[in-house]
Amino acid sequence: MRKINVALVEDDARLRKAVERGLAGADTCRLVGMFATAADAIRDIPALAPDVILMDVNLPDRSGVECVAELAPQLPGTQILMLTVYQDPDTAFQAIAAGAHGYLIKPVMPKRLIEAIREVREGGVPMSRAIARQVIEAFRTMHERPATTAAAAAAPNRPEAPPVDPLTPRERQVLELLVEGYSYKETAAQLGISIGTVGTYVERIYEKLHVSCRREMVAWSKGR
Amino acid sequence: MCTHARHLPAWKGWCSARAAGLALAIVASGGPEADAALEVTAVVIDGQEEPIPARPAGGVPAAVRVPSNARTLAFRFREVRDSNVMGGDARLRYRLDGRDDTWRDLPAAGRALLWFVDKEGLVIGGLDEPMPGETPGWNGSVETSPYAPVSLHAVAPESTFGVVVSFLSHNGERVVGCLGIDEMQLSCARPGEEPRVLPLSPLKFSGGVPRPQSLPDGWQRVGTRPELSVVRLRAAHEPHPILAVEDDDVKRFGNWTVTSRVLPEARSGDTVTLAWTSAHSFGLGGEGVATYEGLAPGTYTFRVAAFRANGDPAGEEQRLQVVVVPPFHQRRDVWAAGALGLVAAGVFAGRTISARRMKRKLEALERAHALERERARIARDLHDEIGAALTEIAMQADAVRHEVADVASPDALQLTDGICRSAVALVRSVDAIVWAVNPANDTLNRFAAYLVQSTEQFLDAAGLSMRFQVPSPLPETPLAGTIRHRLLLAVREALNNVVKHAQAQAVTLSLRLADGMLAITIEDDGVGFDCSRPPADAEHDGLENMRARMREIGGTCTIDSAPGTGTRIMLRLPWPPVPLPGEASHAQDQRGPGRG
Repeated sequence: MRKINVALVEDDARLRKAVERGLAGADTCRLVGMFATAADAIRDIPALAPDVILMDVNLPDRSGVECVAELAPQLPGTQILMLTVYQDPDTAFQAIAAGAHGYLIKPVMPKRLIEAIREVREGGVPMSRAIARQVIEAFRTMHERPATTAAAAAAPNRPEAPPVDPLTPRERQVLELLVEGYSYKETAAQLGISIGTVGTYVERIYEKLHVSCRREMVAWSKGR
Repeated sequence: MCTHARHLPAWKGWCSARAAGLALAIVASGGPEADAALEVTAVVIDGQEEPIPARPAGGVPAAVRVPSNARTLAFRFREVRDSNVMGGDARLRYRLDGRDDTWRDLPAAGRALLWFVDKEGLVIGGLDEPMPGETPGWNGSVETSPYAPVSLHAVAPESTFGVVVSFLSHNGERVVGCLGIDEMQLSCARPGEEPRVLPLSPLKFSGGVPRPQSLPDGWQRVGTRPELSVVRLRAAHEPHPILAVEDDDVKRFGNWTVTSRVLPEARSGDTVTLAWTSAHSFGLGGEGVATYEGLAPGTYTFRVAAFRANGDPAGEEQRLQVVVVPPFHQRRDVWAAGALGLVAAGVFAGRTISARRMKRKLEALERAHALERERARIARDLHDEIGAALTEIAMQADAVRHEVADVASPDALQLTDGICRSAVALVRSVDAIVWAVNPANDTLNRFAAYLVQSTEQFLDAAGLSMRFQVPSPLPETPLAGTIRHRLLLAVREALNNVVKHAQAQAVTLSLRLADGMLAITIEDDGVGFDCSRPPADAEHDGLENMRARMREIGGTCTIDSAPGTGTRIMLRLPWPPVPLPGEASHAQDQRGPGRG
């Protein structure tokens, strides 16, 4: 099997070194590039087209979240894992809304790092409970606002349509179980489906989130 | 004592006069308000005690000058009293005009006890629940203030023969305040049996019409000054008698107690629930310290005043002016503004004054924010530096461990594992500090998000499953950094206990905001322990830490467990929380207007 190509964006030289050493022994992945600034990453990573990008949240020139927003649309086949410095659920969520696929809280031991890279590559999209909580919240606020303002502007005389939930009932069930603290395994057992199917639902939820976030941003920029 | 005499206020002379034998006449003419004497005993700037300026005869005392680069400014104050003419000790409240909008109490609480006793009547375990601060809507009277519900649950330990219930105005030293207790009910539940419920309210009086000093059937007045426990008539619904403690004695306290002879039998393994409603307000008397941080240049007045036990002003007050001196460059600024004001004086006088006031306000705000930003920056710098170094250590230790896995002794492997784990734990601790000092996180909603995330991380790493009952979204109510941090540490302590001692499979974390109380519950399905017996040392330290963290912020921690039934830890904090003295926080604005 082909090794997974990994790029690392991290400004601290010690941590670059540590990750390099950690991944050196792995037989499932290899490091194809390391970058210390967002500018370097945005310039050079698209040409590398790695399978997975490990992205530090705090970079000296621009934030890792902005970096994700730049890179994700150019690299549809690449998964991005954020390395967050402090446990900051908001930043992690912003990164995910911008197109990242997951996040790891430092310090991450090499074993866990290699595992996470393999998981995200195999489509096992991770969604932590903390993120699930924010995803529900994001859908709630996004769909309450545009549904009232946009619809009212388009058809001022028509009675307002109730806001449409972008999630299917099944997707919502999965999300709610995660928020309540169920693991993928427990969620699968609860709903009588396989763990792989839970992953598929989560992936769809992420896609809808990205679409909604992008639409939200467009609506916001037009509204200005 | 020379320094003493220097900061005696003008009216302090009355006390000396009284000592000289002229007292009675003056007290009589001055009324009860004139009896208590307050004094600011010291001003402490960045830990350094400063002399208090002398008061010229009949004049206004000079202001204390504080350099604007001072980080903390503290006032020590006390009540000086040579007799009890007012009928009780003062409850001391303080405020810094220019910073505080309300009077502030020193942190204090009353207590409720639900004790288990054995055949001999010896206490073998139970719960000790603080009733901190003030219940919402407190209006100075136990008869007309709104009451808030409280309940305690405990499993009766081995050799339980009965229970004792007490309500008292004492939780450590110097508490003064009022407490009303109503709608009491005690129930005992045994698996497979109907719970036995004993209503303790309404109170019965076989001795005739209840009066303040009557004894309700079954109840006893105890405490170091039993007569502080009284019977009052609560106006709600049908007017009915209630238990009250009205404590205006700094040194002593009152206590209402009902014993096992009256209450239903409880046996080991029973789940005993004590429910009641309470209206209370507690503060401290005697002496106190008020600490402030980050004061902008300007003039402030520190005030300490005597209040009655119920929170009504007693009329006595002591003031001290403080001038935070601006640094030189700012003074030129002010001078320039003043000159401008003079030029435009004829027409714009009013406008200039309000502009200067606005400027002062803006400067104060700016200074508070600058301080917050600076704190956050220092913490972040520390974190980035230490965090990166620790991560490197952890990863190197991990690499060594793999390198030598086949050749090293088990001891050596364990040691490298230990290095790795300690480094990881340290990074997380620094994380929590950075998070706590970041003013962007000063809301309940952000706290909940962080709580869920860190709990998830911790339990995932320990291989436990988890359930969350945390409403979303929560209000963006301000929640100051120090309070967030201590709450977080208390929850961590609870989770640590679960992982280390409980042998649990699953943990439920729930957060509820209701009835003026924030309640966080950590419940596990592990082996539990006997609440009545002192747990093993390590565990005991954990539990004590948790209690201490909660006490520091005016909250409580109750632990409910029995062998084989898991453990339930409940952390409670009156909502909105009262910021710690000196806390530069937006949370202060949430307090309602104070009396007096």
